[in-house]
Amino acid sequence: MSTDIGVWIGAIGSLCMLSLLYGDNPFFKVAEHTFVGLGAGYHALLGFTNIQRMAWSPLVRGQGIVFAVPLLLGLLVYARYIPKQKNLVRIPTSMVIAVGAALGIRGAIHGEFTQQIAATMALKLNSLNNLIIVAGFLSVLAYFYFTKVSHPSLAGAQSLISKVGRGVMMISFGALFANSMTTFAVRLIGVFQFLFGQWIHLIT
Amino acid sequence: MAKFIDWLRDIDRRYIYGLVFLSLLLPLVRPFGLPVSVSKLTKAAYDEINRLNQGDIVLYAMDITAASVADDMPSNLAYMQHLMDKGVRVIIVTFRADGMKYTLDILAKWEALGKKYGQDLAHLGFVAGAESGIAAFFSDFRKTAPTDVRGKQTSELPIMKDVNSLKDVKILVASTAGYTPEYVRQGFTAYGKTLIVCASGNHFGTLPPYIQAGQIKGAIGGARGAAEYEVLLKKPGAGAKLMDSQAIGLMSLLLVMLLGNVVYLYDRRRSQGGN
Repeated sequence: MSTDIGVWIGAIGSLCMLSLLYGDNPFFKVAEHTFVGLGAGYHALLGFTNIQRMAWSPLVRGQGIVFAVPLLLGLLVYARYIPKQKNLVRIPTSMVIAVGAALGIRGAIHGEFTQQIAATMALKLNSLNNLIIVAGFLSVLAYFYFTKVSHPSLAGAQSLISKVGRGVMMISFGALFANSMTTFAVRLIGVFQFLFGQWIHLIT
Repeated sequence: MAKFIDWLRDIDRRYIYGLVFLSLLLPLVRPFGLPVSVSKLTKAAYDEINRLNQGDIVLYAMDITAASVADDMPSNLAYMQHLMDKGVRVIIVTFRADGMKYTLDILAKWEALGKKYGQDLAHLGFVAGAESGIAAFFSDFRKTAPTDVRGKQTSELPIMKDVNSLKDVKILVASTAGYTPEYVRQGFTAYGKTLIVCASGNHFGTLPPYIQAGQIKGAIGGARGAAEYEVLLKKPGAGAKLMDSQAIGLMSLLLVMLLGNVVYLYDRRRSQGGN
């Protein structure tokens, strides 16, 4: 067995968490609250060191007054606690949203729209794989085409293609779920490796 | 048959947990070495890194989350093994706060094996801001991360000589803990930089559209991808160790799902008046 106190704390915490599978109990509650508290503390510390490293230190070293801007904007977030000045919180909030949206749109239109469509249009229908991609793409698009075609024979075809599209999406969701299952299995294996490897040395 | 179905329906879920636990644990205790085949994507990622020359500099955005470390760590270790074996110089950065510890573990491992900090590899720390942080960092490494994880000036690190933006590195390797679209938008689309990815298994399913469009050149997914990469490296490691356990564990889950569906279909048929 391990003689490291850190490993013991981790192992007991892991067992407390896993105890939820048996049923809700006080050990799980203690571990849950400890975990949330530790997570909050860790992120607060990391945030503090990050501000120190990326804004405060360069500012006091005289690398430019521009480093005061993020500090000022950060302080304005707390303006919500001053009733008469609480509107000031809109400045940093709107900046974060505006910058995020601008950056997202810049890359999204080209990276996730035109490049993707161009790549699908450029596919040669010379392999089963490519045929599935193109047919899947068109049928899923048809599923989200909500206007009904007026001609009865075409309406039938539209309905059929849209059903194929729904099937394609179901297969995709199934594949995503399967991927998630493999990840959760590996995460559990990771816990077992820690408990039976690092803690009680059953696994070499 | 009806008795068996009734028994299945009423089975205590804790027996199912026990079955899954045992099927995951026993292969860990006694591995039997199931063969691992290599996918095209893993080979593509391997080939891209293999094309790099000694001394080339890559940016490694190493986003590992604490929740998925068991899945993320083997693939990151596999990429780092290949990069270090090739003598490629690596600048590490992370955009995920909770994974910082694991990136430092990887750094420490290679320093212990003789790689020189500042010369062969460097860690510029955690950069906050998600996509805004990624975009700012890619455009100016030194301004976004003025100091490294050890408090040294980024501009004074030998590896950073002539390197200050994504344009100056050979390729971008990204361990994307859910940030794949961000790396595609800010790395590939904005700079046209070759992008190699390793993603957790649950995010891996979202990569094909980017791969098919040529935006991601190669990728490995979770521990399974790491095991494949280790086959190519001919160095079985952390990923290979997990494969037996994962395969048997998933087979037990499939069995449970199958039995659950049998019960469901039987009940439905009975409620509709069938036999």
